[in-house]
Amino acid sequence: MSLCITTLERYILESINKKNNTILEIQNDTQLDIILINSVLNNLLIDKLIVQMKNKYCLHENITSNKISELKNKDTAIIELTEIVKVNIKQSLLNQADNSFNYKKVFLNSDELKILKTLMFSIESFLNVRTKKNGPTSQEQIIFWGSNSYLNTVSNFINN
Amino acid sequence: MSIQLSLINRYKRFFPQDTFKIISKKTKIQQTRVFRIFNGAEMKISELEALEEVMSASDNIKIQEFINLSKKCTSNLSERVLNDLYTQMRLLLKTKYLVTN
Repeated sequence: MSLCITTLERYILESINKKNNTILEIQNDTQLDIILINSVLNNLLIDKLIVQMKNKYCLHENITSNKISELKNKDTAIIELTEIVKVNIKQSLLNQADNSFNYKKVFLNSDELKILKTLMFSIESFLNVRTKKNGPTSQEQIIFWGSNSYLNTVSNFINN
Repeated sequence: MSIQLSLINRYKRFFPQDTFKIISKKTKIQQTRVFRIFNGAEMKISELEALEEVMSASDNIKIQEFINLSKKCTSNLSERVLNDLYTQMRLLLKTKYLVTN
């Protein structure tokens, strides 16, 4: 059975990767409940993704190449991202959070499409120079952008 | 009383649309009695069992529907889609396990 890593585990792994090594540091960085962090850490230890030295947790230095490829597995990433988008759109549609996950179905002529592409390129350029290491993991923003034609989207459904 | 309260809360989550009239019909408890129970009056064991039974019957229908749908998916959907569903279910289950343990 392949390794399956949840968004919650990835969140904590990313925090450890930012040199938050004790439970309190992880808690401060992620703003999660200590009991939950402990439960996730135990699971990561069992999966040999992290090691514990006294009261410190570090990424496992010798993660097998199999595990790395499983962590980078595109299928799992697609499902993880789908879940993230789903949760945010649901919150946004039900007005449960002050996020701004929106989408629009709209016809754009070729000039308007060029404008949209330029705007998206600007967003991408703006984001590319920002690194995630600067601040706490809990303060990171999840940003999605992009567009696709309606036909292409429907074709993907059909091909599934 | 705390068992009663948690049962009533569970029922409300299960059937948020149910009126006292519908609850009475489902559980065969008198409507005025249902009103009193849902407003804090102490339940008899038989009333508690009646509410439990309604929820468990509904549970079984949902589970059976889920199993039937899963079987249909297994025989009709592509391996790729089934893999996605499988991984999605594993991740949901694992998250649930991490949160509750």
